[in-house]
Amino acid sequence: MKEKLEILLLDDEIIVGNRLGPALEKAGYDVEVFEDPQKALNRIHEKEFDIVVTDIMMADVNGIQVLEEVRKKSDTTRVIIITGYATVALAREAMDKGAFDMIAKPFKPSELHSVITKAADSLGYKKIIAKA
Amino acid sequence: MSIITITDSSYSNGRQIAKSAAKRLNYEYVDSENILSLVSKEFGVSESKLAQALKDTPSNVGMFSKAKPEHIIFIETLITGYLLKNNMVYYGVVGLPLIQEVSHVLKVNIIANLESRIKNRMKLDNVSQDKARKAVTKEDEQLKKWVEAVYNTDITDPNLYDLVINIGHIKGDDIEDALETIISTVEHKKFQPMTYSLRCMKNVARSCRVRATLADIDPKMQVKSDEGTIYIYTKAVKKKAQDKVLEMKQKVMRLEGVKHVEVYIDYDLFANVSHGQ
Repeated sequence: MKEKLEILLLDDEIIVGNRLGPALEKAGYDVEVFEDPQKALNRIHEKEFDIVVTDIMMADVNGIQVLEEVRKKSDTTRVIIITGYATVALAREAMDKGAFDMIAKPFKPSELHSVITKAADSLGYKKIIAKA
Repeated sequence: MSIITITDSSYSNGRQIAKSAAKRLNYEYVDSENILSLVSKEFGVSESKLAQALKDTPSNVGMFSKAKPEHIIFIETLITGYLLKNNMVYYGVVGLPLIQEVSHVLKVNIIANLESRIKNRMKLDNVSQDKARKAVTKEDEQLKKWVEAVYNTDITDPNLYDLVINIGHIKGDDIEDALETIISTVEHKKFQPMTYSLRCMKNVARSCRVRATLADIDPKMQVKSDEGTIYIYTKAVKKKAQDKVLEMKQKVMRLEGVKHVEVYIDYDLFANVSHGQ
């Protein structure tokens, strides 16, 4: 088993990546941050991440498409949706298509960390997770 | 880990289906009637008054009966508090429109044709066909009026529900089929709780708790919660507005989990005129 959880973080708002990326790295994760969904998809095709954290509303490619692409590549990668446009319909669609969880923006880094911890638990990483 | 809410037209066996679903899933069962003793204990209102509030249309509440609008708020508060626990089956309409945005709640409506329901009523209450027909129709109308008056919602609108099951003739098999449909649906991933939906449920429960806390000041206020921030929309006359805001903030800040309170006043023109402002 790898020593560090590998996380891909995708959000087209630069400020989100700038804030969450360092917070997650500080918590002990290996994080790759993307603002461009297409570049993120290319990376997802190259590498199997443990966890993908993605925004929903982005130009060209949306978070549900990212989720579908991840599911095509891997059954184990946990996908966490973060969105400022949460609705019942979106929440159910995301779960139906295999999302691990969904968080409504705004949220604190500690809330994301808590969901990532649950995702890591489900992958068997319980003992190596640092506290944020 | 989900929640099932079940409503029905009168004598459609919704309560029986709700209880059976809870038993089969090993979920807790609650309905707006069996919760009344707890509401009574917590808010110090007699069970008979609370039961009356569930029957009287709110235009009559407070005028022609001993029931008051805040009694409905108290019942909503306990019910939404219960629903925070998950693994619940709730039979009833109180609070139902408040949890429309909670994705892990499977909302079920049970219907049956009128003739079947009349037969069911005749059998259960040993009454004539004519009496049964009048009673079933009256109960349907009462419930529709009550929901319209309290929530401005049409309880028969299928858009309120994820599942509308017509059990047709009241036979054991139909009930079993309805049960199977409900159980297989709730087990779908769509209805699993997630961080977002749990937060929605928490916000609804907290809004109800705030309304109950302030019901003696204004039972008609609107409250919205977002995590620990509470937004209150109320009416007041200008002279008393400052005192009202202060009193509300002090009361609400004492509640668990509340970090910040904002009160928005709509100055009641009619009241201002009567106070000479």
